[in-house]
Amino acid sequence: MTEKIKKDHSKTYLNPYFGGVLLGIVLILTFYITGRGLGASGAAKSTVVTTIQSVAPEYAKESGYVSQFISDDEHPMNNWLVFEVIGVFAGAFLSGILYGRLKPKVEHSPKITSRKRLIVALLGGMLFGFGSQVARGCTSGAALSGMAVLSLGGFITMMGIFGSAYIFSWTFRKLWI
Amino acid sequence: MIKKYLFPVILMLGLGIVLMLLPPKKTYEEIPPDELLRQVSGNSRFLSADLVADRMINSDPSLLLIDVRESAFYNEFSLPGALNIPLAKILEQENIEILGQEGMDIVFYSTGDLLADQAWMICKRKGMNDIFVLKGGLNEWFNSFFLLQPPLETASSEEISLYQFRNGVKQHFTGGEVQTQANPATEKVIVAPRQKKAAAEGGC
Amino acid sequence: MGPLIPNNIIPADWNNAIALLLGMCFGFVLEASGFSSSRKIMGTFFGYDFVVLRVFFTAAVTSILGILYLDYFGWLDFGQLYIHPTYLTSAIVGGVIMGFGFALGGYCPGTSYCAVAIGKLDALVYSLGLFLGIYLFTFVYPWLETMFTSNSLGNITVPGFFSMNTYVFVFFVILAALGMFIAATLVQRKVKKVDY
Repeated sequence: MTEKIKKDHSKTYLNPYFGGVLLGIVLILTFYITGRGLGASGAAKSTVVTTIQSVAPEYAKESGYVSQFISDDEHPMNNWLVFEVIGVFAGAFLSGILYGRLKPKVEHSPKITSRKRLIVALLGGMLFGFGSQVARGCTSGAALSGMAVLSLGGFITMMGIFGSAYIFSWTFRKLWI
Repeated sequence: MIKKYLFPVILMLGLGIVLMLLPPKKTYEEIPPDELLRQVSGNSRFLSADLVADRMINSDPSLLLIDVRESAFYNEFSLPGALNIPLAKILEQENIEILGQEGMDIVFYSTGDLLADQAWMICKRKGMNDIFVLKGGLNEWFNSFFLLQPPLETASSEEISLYQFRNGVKQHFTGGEVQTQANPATEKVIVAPRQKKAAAEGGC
Repeated sequence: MGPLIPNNIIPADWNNAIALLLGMCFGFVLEASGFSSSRKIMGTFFGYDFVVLRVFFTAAVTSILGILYLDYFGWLDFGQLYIHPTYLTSAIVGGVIMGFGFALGGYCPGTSYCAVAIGKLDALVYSLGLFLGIYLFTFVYPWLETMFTSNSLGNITVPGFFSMNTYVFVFFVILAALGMFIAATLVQRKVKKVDY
């Protein structure tokens, strides 16, 4: 009986252009069905708002920003983006299974330690979270979905992100290469 | 590698070029002619004076009367609560906004119903729904309520109640005299056979 | 026909279920294209792997063309689509801050969710950072409020802003995307390979 050697697909990825076309089709479908685009930072915001509301409802009501997202009749987590992000987790998980990429690890450049990577990831997340609220969107919501409908704000935010990322990544290149 | 991507690249460029060269899209918000014919053929757009008066008396908030005559006529006389949008100005932006309000029933009226019906046609072509025409216009309005003839003694009960209703409308709009002539006449006919019933109803 | 749910062709109650399904497609494509690996993503900024550029701009061009064609043939009403509003100052400032975060973290929120789904701990920490960053924003909001709400241009499109024919603009976008793909391929050949 021949032994079936399990092929390691963990480094196999879709052809980027093909992936792009697929993503474009998903975007078209999203706009066609729902009239809005995809997003990601919005779900994080809803989570934060919900947490603040349950832990410190007074602060939530007084905060100029948080109060905008609280309404008496609807729970902030009952939100299109939250369901979409749950789907994102599920879809990525499925893909991870399919390609055999499910593995807990800290991904970092061999030139820095795991710990440094985690610290920097935290800082990066904080900056990005902050910035996403300022720009009212992230790369998925503002840049990608914004560009799909040719939004001026979308283009500007996208150029801001990529331009600034090029400069800062070169500055912090020791973290990556 | 170039060969592999040649087709998609040409496709992408091609689609972009075709998009630029396509004839301009018709952005006109018109309903197609056969749809217009369908809507014109039924007469559901006509509202009778009685119906409109009833809604006005009940202060129906969704009713909006539009006087499509020239402003001189509007200033001389207009129905209570009506706005003036002369037919010639009906497509002006601010008027379109008034006519396009959600949840409102627009009732066009004019002296007869010719101008009002024209206004209706134009707005229907623009795709508006919830638009109506006052049947007979102001002429019919006057005939119904203000040139009211008391019914003959042989009139049916529907005609009599219609008369009473219209009389009530007239009183509502003019605060006018109560016509006592009609009532004894109707009472004379009804009272005798219905005496018992009337007493019972009175109690409730 | 237009967007189905806003036109009540599909009942609005299905919206969340549809969001879930679309999110699954989104997540799947992202992960399958390699966006769950921060080092792969960062390759775009160092020249060893331009996957972000390629996927992003191909998706943008595909979706723009798709939407415009559907609109042209009357199957989709472009006017009913949600166009991300333009607030000049905050769009730029937010973009720059996000770029900084991107350079340090190596993820954006969407890709970090994908990475968390396959077990990357640095993505988990990044997501935590997202929450903290948003929380910080709520604190600082009163000081930022004027900047945040200034220079609103409304929900305008780029060709609308420059009073340009939409389709001509899209053609330029296609050309720009092609140019970037070619440049990216050339650069990638010259850059030292990185094993990730």
